[in-house]
Amino acid sequence: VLGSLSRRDRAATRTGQTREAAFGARLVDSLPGLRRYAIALAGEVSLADDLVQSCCERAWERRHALQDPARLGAWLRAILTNLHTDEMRRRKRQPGEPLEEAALDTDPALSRRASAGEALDMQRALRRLSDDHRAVLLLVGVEQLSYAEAADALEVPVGTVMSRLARARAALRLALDGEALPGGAQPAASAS
Amino acid sequence: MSAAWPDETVIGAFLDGELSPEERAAVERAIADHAELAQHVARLRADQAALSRSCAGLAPGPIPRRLIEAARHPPVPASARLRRRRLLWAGGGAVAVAAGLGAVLLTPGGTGDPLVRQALAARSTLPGGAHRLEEPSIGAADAALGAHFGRRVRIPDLAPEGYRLAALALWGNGDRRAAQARYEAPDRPPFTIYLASPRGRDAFALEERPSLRICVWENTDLATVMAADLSRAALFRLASLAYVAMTT
Repeated sequence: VLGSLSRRDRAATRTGQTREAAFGARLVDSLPGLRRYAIALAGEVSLADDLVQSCCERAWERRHALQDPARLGAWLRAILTNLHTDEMRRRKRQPGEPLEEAALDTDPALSRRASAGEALDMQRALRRLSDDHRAVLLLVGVEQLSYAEAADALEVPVGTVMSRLARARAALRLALDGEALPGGAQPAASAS
Repeated sequence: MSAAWPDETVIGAFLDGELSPEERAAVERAIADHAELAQHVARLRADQAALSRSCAGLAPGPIPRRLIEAARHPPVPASARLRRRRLLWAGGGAVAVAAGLGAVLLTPGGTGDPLVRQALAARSTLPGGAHRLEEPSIGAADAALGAHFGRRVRIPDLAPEGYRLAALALWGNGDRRAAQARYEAPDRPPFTIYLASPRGRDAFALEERPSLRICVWENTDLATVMAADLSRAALFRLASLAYVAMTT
């Protein structure tokens, strides 16, 4: 009996190890997209990388909570969005306060993008939005999450996602228009 | 008669492909009727495309090795053990402090605490009208609990301990709100956490009953009763992990 149990245990261990390896491989595959999202959300590569690392660690800790493997991407973005929110709270930065422009201009990785004028203008405009508006625009507009997935990630009702998106799009347009003005108008970042 | 100019949230949902075919057709009719609307939608679409393009290039060099390692492997067991030990020390410390204050009750027959009575009643049969979520994700349970109690209450993720969140039930209103999280494991008895509105005090108590160990843990934000047919040590371990997760 002991031998049989032992074999069963060994088989179970092997199965667990295979599952863990598969989960790890999928996490690695998710890294490029997840890191792009983190950089767009945080505006700083160093902070973004810290968020991605914490996100991976939390994903491992909570991997049993992921019921639908096809939703891994949305699930990871939800974790990362929450980590970013926590970090912003920790830094005691008020929601809606824009990141310092310097964070964009002095980061070498982002500065390299200065050759792409439109992209840089867009990233600067994005920096001027509130955290809430930036997150919902990125999740739905860039990461292609459904409204239901975005609502889950942001822990708000779908109706809030819709209204927040509408305000975020209007704010983005204002910020983009501001960039084009001489002297650089500073549209007010609006919190939803 | 021309179609009405849709609400901005509807226009957004149109852009994002979130409308039903009928709703989509209505927006398309409105676009056909209003040149300004067509221009507005085109500009929103262009902004969205520009945003996607600008983010697509945000890939500064190769992915750092530390991220690949964090993705490929579970967190280092040593640090996990250390963290878990810290949590248990935190729980043990709370017990020691409570014991020093004479607040720990290791009562074989039960204390008659109404909070425990309510928790055990709910453990046996949920109150009528309770809203029950089956197999909720941790995120969904967090959101539901937060909405129910009107503040953030983290639902513990006990998967590392082999327990999955099987159900969450919510009931009550005003200052008489309560909830029960039921965790199940394939090889151990179920573990329940009863959460209730706070009673305005810090307290800790362990009770022993036939086939049930009960841990009451309260602070000024939350009152909890955790129960399982486990050894006292095993229950205390789970309760410590759960309480720390809920309150940090």
